[in-house]
Amino acid sequence: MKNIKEAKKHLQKLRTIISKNPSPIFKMSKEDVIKTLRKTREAIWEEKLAVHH
Amino acid sequence: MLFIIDSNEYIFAFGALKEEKARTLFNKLLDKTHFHNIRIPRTIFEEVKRNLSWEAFHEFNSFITTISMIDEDMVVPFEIVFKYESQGFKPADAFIAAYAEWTGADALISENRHFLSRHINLPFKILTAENCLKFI
Repeated sequence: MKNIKEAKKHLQKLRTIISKNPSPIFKMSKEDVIKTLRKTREAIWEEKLAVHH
Repeated sequence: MLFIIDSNEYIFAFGALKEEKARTLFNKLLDKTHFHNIRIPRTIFEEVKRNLSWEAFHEFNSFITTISMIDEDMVVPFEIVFKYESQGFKPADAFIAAYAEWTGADALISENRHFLSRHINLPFKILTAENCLKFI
C-alpha cells in the first residue's frame, strides 16, 4: 500500500542529506553519472553471473 | 501508467538542481499516484544503493518501500532477457528491458543513450525524464 505523504517526507529528507553531504556521483557531470552507473551495472551483472556459474 | 525508472534518473532526481526534469518527474509522479505506479528490480535498487552514502541509502530504502516494492531479478524469465540480448542489448541492459516487458510497463525512463537509441518495436516506450513529463 503506497503511503505518499511518507514517501514525500523521505524524498525531501533524502535530498537534504545529499545536498549536505553528497557522495561522489552527485558531484559529477551528467555524462559521467551515466558512465558511472553503467560501470556499476556491469559490475553487479558480473557478480551475479559469477554466483550462478 | 506503470513506469520503470532507471538508476540514472533516481540519481538525478535526488541530487542537485542541474537535472531539474528528473526531480520534477518524481514530484509529479508522487502527486499523481492514483494514476501512476513505479516498479523497481533489485538490480536498479542495488545500482542506486552503491552510489549513495549509508545515511542516504537508508532514506532511499524507506522512500522506495513506501511507494513500491522491489522485485527480485530472478522473477524475470530468461527467454525474454535472451530476446533482448539477440536484439543487440548488452546483457545487463537486456535484463532491464526484459523486466520492463515482464512487468507490462508503459515506459522505461532513462537518460542512457544505449536505451534511447533502441526504442523501435518494443512493447514499452523508452523516454527521458523530459519526454515522460509530456505524458503524465
